[in-house]
Amino acid sequence: MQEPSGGGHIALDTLDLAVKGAKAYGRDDLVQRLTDARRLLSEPDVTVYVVGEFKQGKSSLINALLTAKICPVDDDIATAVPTVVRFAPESGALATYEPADPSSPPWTERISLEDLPTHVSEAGNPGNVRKLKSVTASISRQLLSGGLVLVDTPGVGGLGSLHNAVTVSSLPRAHSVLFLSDASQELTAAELRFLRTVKDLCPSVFFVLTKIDLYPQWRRILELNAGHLEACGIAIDTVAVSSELRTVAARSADQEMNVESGFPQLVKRLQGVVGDAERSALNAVGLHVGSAVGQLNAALRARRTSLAHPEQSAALVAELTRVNDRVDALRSQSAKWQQLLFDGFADISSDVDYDLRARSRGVLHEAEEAIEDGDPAKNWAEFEKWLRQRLANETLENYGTFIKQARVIASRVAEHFELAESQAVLPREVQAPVQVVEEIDIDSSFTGVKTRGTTGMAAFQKAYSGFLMFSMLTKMAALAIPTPFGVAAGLLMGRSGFMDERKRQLEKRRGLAKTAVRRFVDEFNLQVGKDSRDAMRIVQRELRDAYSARVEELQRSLTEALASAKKAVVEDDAETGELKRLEADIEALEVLGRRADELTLRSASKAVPASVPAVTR
Amino acid sequence: MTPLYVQVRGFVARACAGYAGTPAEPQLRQIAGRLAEPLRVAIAGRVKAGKSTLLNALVGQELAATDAGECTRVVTWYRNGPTYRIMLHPVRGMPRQLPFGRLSGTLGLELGMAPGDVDRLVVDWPSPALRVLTLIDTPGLGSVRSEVSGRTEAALVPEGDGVGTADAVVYLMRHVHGDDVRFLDAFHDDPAQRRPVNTIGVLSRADEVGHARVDALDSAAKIAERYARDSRVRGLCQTVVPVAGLLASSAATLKESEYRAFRLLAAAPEAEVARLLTSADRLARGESEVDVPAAERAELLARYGLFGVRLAVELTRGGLVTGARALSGELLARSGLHRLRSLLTTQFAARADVLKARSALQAVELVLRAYPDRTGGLLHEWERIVAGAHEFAEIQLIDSIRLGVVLFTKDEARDAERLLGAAGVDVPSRLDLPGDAGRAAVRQALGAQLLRWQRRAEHPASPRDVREAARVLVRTCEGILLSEARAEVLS
Repeated sequence: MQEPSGGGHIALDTLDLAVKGAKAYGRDDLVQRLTDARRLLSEPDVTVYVVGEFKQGKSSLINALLTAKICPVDDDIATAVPTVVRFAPESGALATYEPADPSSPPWTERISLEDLPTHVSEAGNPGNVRKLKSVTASISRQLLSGGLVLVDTPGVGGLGSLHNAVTVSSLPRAHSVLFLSDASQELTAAELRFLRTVKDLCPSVFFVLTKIDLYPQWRRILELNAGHLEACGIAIDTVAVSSELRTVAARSADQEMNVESGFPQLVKRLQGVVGDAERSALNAVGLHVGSAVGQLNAALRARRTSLAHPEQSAALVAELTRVNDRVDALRSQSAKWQQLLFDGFADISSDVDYDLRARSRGVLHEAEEAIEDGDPAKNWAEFEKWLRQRLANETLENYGTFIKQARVIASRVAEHFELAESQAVLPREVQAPVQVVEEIDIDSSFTGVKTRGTTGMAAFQKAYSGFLMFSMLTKMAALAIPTPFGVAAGLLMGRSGFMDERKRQLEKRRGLAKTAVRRFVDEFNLQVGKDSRDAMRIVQRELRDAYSARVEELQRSLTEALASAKKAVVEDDAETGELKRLEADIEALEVLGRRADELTLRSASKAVPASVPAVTR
Repeated sequence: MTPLYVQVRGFVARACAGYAGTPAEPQLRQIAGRLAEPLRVAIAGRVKAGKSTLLNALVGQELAATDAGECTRVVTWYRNGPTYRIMLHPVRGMPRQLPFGRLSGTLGLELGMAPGDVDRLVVDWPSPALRVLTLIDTPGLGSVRSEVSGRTEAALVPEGDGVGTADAVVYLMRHVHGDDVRFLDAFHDDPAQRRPVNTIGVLSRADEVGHARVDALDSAAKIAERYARDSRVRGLCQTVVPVAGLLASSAATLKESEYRAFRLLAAAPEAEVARLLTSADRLARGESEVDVPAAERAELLARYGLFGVRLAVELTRGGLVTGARALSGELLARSGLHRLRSLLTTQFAARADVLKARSALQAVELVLRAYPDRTGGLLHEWERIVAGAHEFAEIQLIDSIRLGVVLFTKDEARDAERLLGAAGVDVPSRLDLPGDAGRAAVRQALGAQLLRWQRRAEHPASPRDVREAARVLVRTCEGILLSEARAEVLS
């Protein structure tokens, strides 16, 4: 594991102190939350996927970026298996295999970096016969030391597209995506369509124009592409690079050429992504600590108020009870956030299901037309491949819709939850518990507006079962072939005589083929529909649980505060000592709170953090 | 000229006479005319595959307009003619001649109507290359503008039972794309008409495959070979060859001034030239003390591509070529154009007679069935020719083997295809012998093949289709034996 940055150290210290405090007051729920938050700092992976059609220079880009030969590059199609490149002081690689039994965990094998090509490349592992799931390569590079993880994917389109759908379906977990297209020609309709899906799955996308050393007219292509992107309403940042120039520049230590290669720009963008991720992690830690400190403080302050100003304690108890009622309301089924969550997911479920059916229906129509136009006996195998590929693509786009809508709902629920929380705020003059809710109030780790990584999205990611949908596609039983090749070699010219008989047979074949396709699409609807409904339900449940846990936490804090406020005042020496201790503890907590605030403020310097990872529990 | 071709020509002439004065006569005349024409080769492929560029390379002149954007909008025929002339055939109405103008601007050529209303343009051009082949340039498939792609399919795919416009197709692919495979499927729509035998795949823009390195074409050749082995591609075309179209088209018209520029670059300090050649930008815009101004370098780049310039400089520097002609020849050879041309002239042209005869017979059949036969006997003659033509059976068998319809083993399929002339129609290449193999070796190999296929044909365990295929091969062996024996007697 790499060393955390300076900010990371402070955050870790602060976290540890907060954990100590929570432990001292027996708040195991807060301890749990803070310990979970610690993971954000100790596992600072920032995943960036490199995607695009094949032969656009994805592997070359990674190699040039790291100035090392990691991903195999070949003039022919090279990458067959997704390759993950991450930081490690020593080079090495780990291969993960698809288990024979899908329910058992995958098994892994340690390989050397030199053996990587035989595992990853199309030449060493044609069509992925070794059933590799992924390969993780580790290398010591400055660029990766901030936790940046690059993922090289096999190309989309062409011959292996179904396999790719599985890779792309993991994009919601990515922090950012580099979409590659080379300067030999403008973006095609297929690329644009894919790009839109990618943008749905992961909002942070960069368009990278590659191979600019080869094509004199790359500036014109860049302009044309910008036009296409604008026409599609896709607003993304563009970088033009040449991996070749970067490699040569690295070899000859030619700074001028390095600038020409466009890579410094790309590196800057990637550092930006890492910076954003780190900032948002610090931000989230700050918020969690702040919230925990506030809650701890509540009971202490209530006790202090009742000790120092016994005359105020009745009012305090009244206020606390009122707040408690409000928090109670948050818990009930009829709370606005609960309703939003419930209705929102019901809507998504209906939309996504309709979308899926409309899509599969479109495919069915197309397939039937194709069957009507041709002879199914002729190229059934290709047709079947086409059908699966089409369905995989439609599933992917459908999935994109789901993710997008789920994000919107998560953020709306978060907004309303916060609103409800802020309504539970006590009036200012009553000192103690105000702090509680105020502290919680700034706990914007709930706001789904900050997209991925918020509680909502974290829950979403944790629960997310997209892989299922796609692996299912590959496993679905083969379509029965209507009739084998029955066309004898002798039919050459005298075919007219057989016309009627052949026509009749052809019609029969077409009928059979259509039935087979309809059954297949039906099965597809059933399976994928079930899968996506399950995914939705799990996400919904995770969200609900996460928020319920918050409510419970809040309630416990309030109950403790109430108990402290109600505790009889005996006025003895022990109490004087207690007051002293309380003052000290409150002071300590306040220092901690200030540190947390500072962390939050400093890391939130950028308008809206790209992502605020929150803790899932 | 094969006996079959002569036979068919005679038959068509008799049909013309028989139907003289009937509505069928013009149709038959057209068939007869087409029989006398050179082989029609259509160049097809996706947008930006480099179709027009390849056409220019094949003709050796810059006839068709090319551009970085999508360019060809109208199906255009290029055929040999006494003078330069452009005829426009509208979808409706009479063909008319277009005013003379420079053709390298087909885009800007005044059609006088929307491209959608034009059926085709026919360009007559005196050229030795066009004497053996009539070339048909087509708008790209998979265009964003679907009507453009639609026109190409309409031009290439026969409607219903009609006869295809082109005898053979050169299909350009940059990578084997899903769309490509689908197109070829549509093109061979009827199972009995799926003809990989008259399609050659070209891996175009081959120089870009290897990132314009000087050895780029070697990698391209490897990829082309892989494609050619792919069972799906095999079912669609005869073979796949790599061609660097831009280089080929420009090399054919290499100018003396360009050669001078290459020589200056080759003579300049190596490090400086290497610096210039690292990227297109550096070559076209970079400051340099080399005595070739940036504008001229940009021009070279536009004409030859980065690969072409690198290769030309290397060839000139190595002293491998002296003079513009030699450089042009060497570049042409390296571009892969020679290989394609020889495939077209050996494989296609050698089969051209058979293919044309088959096209003619198919067309005549439609006429014979549509109109009553007044002379009588024409249909019988037609059937006799079709049934007796071993050449058709051979072509059909090649296709069936490629489509995987015949249950041969891998070795059998390979040897059978070779025997049928897939690797070359001369006797030694049919038998997988070196070109200078002696008569005895040929006879021995032939005997072995004959025995092998006879056994396969008679073997009780052979399925019916294999038995039929083996019988065709036996007859092929016998035919070769007969002609060998004749040659021996004559000598």
